[in-house]
Amino acid sequence: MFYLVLSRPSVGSAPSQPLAALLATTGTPVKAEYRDADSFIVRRVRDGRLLAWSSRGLSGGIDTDPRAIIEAPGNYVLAREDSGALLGRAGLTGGDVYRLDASTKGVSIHGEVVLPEDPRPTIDVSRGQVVVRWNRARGAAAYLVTATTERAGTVMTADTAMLLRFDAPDPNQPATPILRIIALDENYRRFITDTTVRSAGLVNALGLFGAISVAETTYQRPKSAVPQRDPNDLPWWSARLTKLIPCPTTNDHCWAPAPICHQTFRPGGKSCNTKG
Amino acid sequence: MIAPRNQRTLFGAFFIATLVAPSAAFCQETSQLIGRVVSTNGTAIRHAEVLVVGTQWTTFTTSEGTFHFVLPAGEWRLSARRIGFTQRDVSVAFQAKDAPDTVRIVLEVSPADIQGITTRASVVDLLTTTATRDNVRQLPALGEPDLLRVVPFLPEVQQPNDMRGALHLAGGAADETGMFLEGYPLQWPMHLNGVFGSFNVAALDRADVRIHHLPIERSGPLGGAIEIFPRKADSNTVDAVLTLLSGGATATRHHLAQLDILASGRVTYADAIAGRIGLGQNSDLAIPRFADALLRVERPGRIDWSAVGFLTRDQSHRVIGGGEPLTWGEALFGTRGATQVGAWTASALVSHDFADVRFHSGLRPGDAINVEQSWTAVTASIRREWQTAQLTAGVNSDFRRNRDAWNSTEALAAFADNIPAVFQYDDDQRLLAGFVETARELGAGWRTTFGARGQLAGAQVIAPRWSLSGPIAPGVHVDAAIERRAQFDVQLSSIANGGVAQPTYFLEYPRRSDNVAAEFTWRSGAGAGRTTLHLTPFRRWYRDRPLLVIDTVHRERFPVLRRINANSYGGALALDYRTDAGAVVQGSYTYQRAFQFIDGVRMPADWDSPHALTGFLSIPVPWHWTLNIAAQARSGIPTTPIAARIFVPWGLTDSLYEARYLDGARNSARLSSFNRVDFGLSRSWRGLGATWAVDLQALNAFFRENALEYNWRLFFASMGSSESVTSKRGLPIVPSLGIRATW
Repeated sequence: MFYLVLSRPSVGSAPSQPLAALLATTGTPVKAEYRDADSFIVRRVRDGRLLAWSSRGLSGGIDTDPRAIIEAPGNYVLAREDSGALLGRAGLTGGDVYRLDASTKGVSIHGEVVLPEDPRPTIDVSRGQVVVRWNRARGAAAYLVTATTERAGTVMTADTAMLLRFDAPDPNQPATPILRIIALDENYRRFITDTTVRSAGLVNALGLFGAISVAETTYQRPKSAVPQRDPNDLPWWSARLTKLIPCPTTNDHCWAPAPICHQTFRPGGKSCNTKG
Repeated sequence: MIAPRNQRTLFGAFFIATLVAPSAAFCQETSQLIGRVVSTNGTAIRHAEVLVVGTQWTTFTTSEGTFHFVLPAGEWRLSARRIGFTQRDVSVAFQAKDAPDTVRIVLEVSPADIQGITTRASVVDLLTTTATRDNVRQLPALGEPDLLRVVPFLPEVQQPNDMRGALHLAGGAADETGMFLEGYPLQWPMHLNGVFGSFNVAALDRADVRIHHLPIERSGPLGGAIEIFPRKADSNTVDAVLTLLSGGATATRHHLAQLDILASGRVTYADAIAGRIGLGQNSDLAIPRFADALLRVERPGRIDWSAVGFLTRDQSHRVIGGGEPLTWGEALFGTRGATQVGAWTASALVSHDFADVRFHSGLRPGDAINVEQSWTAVTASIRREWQTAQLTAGVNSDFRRNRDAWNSTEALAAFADNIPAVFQYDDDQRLLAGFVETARELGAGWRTTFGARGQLAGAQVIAPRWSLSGPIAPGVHVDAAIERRAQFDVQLSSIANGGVAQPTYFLEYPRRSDNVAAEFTWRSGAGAGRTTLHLTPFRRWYRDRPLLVIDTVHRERFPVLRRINANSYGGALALDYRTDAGAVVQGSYTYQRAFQFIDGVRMPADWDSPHALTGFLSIPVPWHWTLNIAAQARSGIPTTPIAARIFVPWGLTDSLYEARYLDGARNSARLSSFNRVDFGLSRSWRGLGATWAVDLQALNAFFRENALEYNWRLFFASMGSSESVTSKRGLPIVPSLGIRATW
């Protein structure tokens, strides 16, 4: 199985991190092992430039004590900056197509993805209503929109505007509201919304070859927000995606693990025995 | 091979031949025969069936135990039977004359017939098993005697686990089992999330379980029908029952303003008890509150008329945000009339049933469930009898309307966890059917029936049927039936654990099944000390069975139904042995397989359980107590294992993932087998002008934890942790106590 989600450097003031890809073998349901590639090539289709990937030399089992959240650092890493003719993470460009060609133990893996352009959000305030709008980013199949003032949490939409309701409980809200929009390519959208999908954007491998672009901004509360009707069509996956909302700090421990239910996880459902 | 046109010609020729063949008996001089059926102490036996052996003439006794026939002069043999009494045949010979002849038939009480958990001693119809009120009371009960807890003990009946009301008949799906109250269709008459039937046993006469042969009036269901009959108000009685689960009272009044009236009501207090021991509102194990009531009024006369009202209601304790809790229930009103003029009998029935599920959360407007399903049924039929033939013809019409709307994640808990949280459905269906069936005595005890139903509800279906019964050797009898069935609806899902009445959807074209079955019966002796063996092989072919497909991306596309073919086959061997000392042993072994074909691949159906063994033993023990032991053992049901685990990115990091488990081949593994043993001690005595009975019972006496379903995902996720709750378990040991008084 192979996992790579292309993205440009982090937004805001966070330092640019290397981007990692995971190539592994899944065996029994509780075992997975790192796997070496004989060749690992990702190129930008527009100009044929290769990306600067290198192996971390990881081997052995992954997360042999399975829990809800699996920690599996990637065994291939993309350099932060361009290196000569090779593209680093900072050199990735939105709207371009990237192609993967790898081979491992006689298996050729191929894939293709479009890195979405960055969404550019703007906040419109009109007659007490606050609407966030953004451009239709090329390569984006859907958007995950998280506004810290909203009770709905993270909402997936194919639209390019959203009415802010300012209905989140006060204790959850930072002093300055934060808005985050993540543009998802079609592979990523399909992989996370359809729980039966085994492979997205890949040929000859399980896993995901996807891409996202992230935009983040802050906004102000209106002096008197007009109360809106509660969302009565909360999509089923919205609760699942709330875990994508980061904590105000960059502390990893703030990523709350999902509850483990005796039955299928029910968004907002009852009688869910939580662990972890 | 016969061309379709020729098939129709043959069908018509055979049908006409059986119709026009009746003998010319009525060309002879006739006279009236008036009779009375009484018990040994002289009490009239009401509703005993009296038939003229070797003919199609049959009738039922009135409330005074009387009956009458118009017969040609000659010698005839009459047979009278009633559950709980020994069948008796008498010969009568009379000449044609103006004054009627009279005959008196005395039936002996046969306690052995009402012991055990079922009886075939007085078979109501071909290939039918009956459980009476007294039968039900033999079985160690879950809280209190329940008719629907008896049915899983019958051969070819499968109930996947203790916590599921779903019943599978001869490999059929759960929504292919129909329930009827005195012929009126019901939708989901269950309490306690399907664990418990919503009929007060004291108000019932019997339940007929018809798996392989349905009355011609029924358009379906494909699996079979459980037909429940209220008790007749033959006398003035009051029956009060107190158990740990509920309290109920049933009263009958005979000839009150020329009406026979049965009134029964029951209400639970187990929820209050559970609340006191900590299983209250906030507990997952909180017991819903329930109540049910049944009223039956009958006016015997030249036109027999009766009406039935039935009501059942359950209410969950869980209230969200000050809203209304989940409630569900059903209300039925039905009335029928029948009259006999000479050899003609005409009857008509009308019923209206309304089932609903409701919930309202106080958290936000519109967070609610409103499911309303109504079913109006009308049937009219006539029957003409000749000496050796009988013709039944009629029409029926169903009008159904279902309105489902929910906008709440509570719907996932109430119905099934793979449905959309927001859904709206409003549809209706009109079904029109005509039916005709002829029966003919072939001589030497052989009898055949042949008929067909034509049904129209969007699509048209012709469903032919044929049956044959008779003795093949001394003491050995065979009943065989071939019939096609059609069903025009589908339930959202099999009744899930803890689920309530499932929303039902109408089909544009029906699901069908072609059924073949035979039952060989061998009897030795009569009354106490007799042995009866039944061997029942069967085979079924299902066409266009709907399979609910969940669109995991576009959940608003719902319900998406895919049609598949399926089959089931198997056989059952049932034993009934009664000793002179009053002990009863009943048991059965069933081998049956249920398969479905998906994408050309044959795989076990979700309820496929190849081997099932049931046993019931009732033994008199000292101090006038009776010890009852009931046991069930069967193969585990299929489950889909996990084939592999892949990862799904978690958050925005590139090193954290959550697991996604990929399903292996559907139903390619099995749960562990199901085993349960129940004990009961009962005693009855007379005192203070009443008959008293006390029951002490322990269900699942060995406290075996039978798996309901296995959560593979949780299993893999919890490996290595100290907590490992990987399967949902069924009943724990359940002790109970019941006291009954009848006066």
